[in-house]
Amino acid sequence: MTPRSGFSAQTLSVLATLCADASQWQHGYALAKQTQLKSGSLYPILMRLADRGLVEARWQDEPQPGRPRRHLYRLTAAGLAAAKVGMADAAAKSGARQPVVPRERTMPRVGRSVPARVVP
Amino acid sequence: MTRAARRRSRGEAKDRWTRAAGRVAARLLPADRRDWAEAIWAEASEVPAGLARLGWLAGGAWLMARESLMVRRVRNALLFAAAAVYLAWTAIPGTPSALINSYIWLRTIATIVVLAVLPWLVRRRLGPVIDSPLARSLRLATFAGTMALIVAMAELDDVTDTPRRLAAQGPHNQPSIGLLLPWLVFVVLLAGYAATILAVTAQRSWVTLRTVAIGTGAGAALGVVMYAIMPLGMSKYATAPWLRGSAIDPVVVVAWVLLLGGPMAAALLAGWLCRGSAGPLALAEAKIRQGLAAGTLATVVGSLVVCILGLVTMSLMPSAGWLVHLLYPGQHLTAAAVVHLVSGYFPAGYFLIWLMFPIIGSGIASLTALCAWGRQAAREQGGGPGGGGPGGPELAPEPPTGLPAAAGSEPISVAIGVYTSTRSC
Repeated sequence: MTPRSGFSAQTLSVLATLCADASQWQHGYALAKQTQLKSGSLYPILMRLADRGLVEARWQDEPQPGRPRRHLYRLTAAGLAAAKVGMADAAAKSGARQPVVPRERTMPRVGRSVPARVVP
Repeated sequence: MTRAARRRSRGEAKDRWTRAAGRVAARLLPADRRDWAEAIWAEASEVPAGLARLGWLAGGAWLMARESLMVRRVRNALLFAAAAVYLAWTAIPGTPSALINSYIWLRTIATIVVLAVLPWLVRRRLGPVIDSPLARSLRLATFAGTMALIVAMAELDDVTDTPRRLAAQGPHNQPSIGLLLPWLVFVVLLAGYAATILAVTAQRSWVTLRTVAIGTGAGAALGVVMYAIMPLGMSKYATAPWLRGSAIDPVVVVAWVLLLGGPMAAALLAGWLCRGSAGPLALAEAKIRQGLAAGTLATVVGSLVVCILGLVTMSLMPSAGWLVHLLYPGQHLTAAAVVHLVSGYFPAGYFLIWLMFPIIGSGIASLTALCAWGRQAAREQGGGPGGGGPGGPELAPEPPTGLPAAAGSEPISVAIGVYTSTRSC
């Protein structure tokens, strides 16, 4: 089930969402809404991607009044390249053969979260 | 203050408390992970109040529990190291000068190495342990039991003066390699037992958690009943002094039923409850695999339970008066008499159990599973499109533990082929 790039379907969906607007910093909740991942799934993915140097994270400089500072995320240059390779691999793989297990299981959210223009 | 303002102020106070709780909880994590935990807590105030926010915070709590597992892993490694040092200190004789002492050295060191290396190997191949109390408890019990077994064996060697007895049987007052061979086989089997338990409880194993539960339950029942029959092993004097006369007969019947029927029942139950397979596996073959795994696991766990409990009981006898009173009620045995009784145990009995139980279990389980689903599996394998009769082979969703698609499928396929050819003859 794992694409050649080594990313799981959920990781790919996070990468695709970050890749859609790679220059912008994004919040965790916005990412969770777009990828439809729960916080318990999203943050471990972000942590692993940050550990691998594919995602950079920082705290918000000026929080809104009465609100705590938020953590922001965006792809690094390496992350952008890896995301493109990963999505291309996943697209090639899903086109090459019919998956045995239902499609929702193999690629649950990439299709819904990746805008068509982003997929190379 | 208006009601709305009061409600807003109460909400902000609740937010502050939640964030403070998050910061405190984040301190349980390694330093490089605390930012992430605080990030989830900070982000919670953006999530709509109610169930959605509760779900978000639950995800954060889950993340912290998972990340603190890293800390737990380090703690487990330290605990294992402490146990290994204790094991070496207790079970290793002073000097490896004589051959038999060298063997005891080898047995203890090999056990420690096996228990240290196997989890690492299994983790690389099959992933970490399933996140379930059952899987963790099974692994912990196997490790603790194995260490206790080695300490008990060393204690028994000491009490019964095994080195001298074995040496007396060999030429030049040294035990021959032939005499030590079963002991070496024992260590190899010990590694096999530990590897089996580690493999079936790994996340990428094709054995489902349900199958592990069924096999463990059947095995524990088998082990306890066998232990009740012979808490002191197959002795020359008495196997179960605490069950007198014919009182032992029903327990013996139950033990035989569990030994022969346990793997069969476990195989049928695990196969019946298997609702699907992952990857290219057909349903019937998945059922056969789960059945085989459950039956084998039943006898592996049963053998571990009876051997560990039995040998530990015997090793405690010379020093634990309460145990002697329990096993020999109404008798006043001197220390010398207890040593004499323990010396009379028949180690080959445990060795036979150690060797034969998994063979019996896997044999019975494979036969049971093949009889139950072999024909259907053959039909699904050879039928091509539309094969599998009415309803066809179902490919249901992947089980929670996941199955690597083709791992180890060849022997099962061969077995199905052999089974169908014998049925058609």
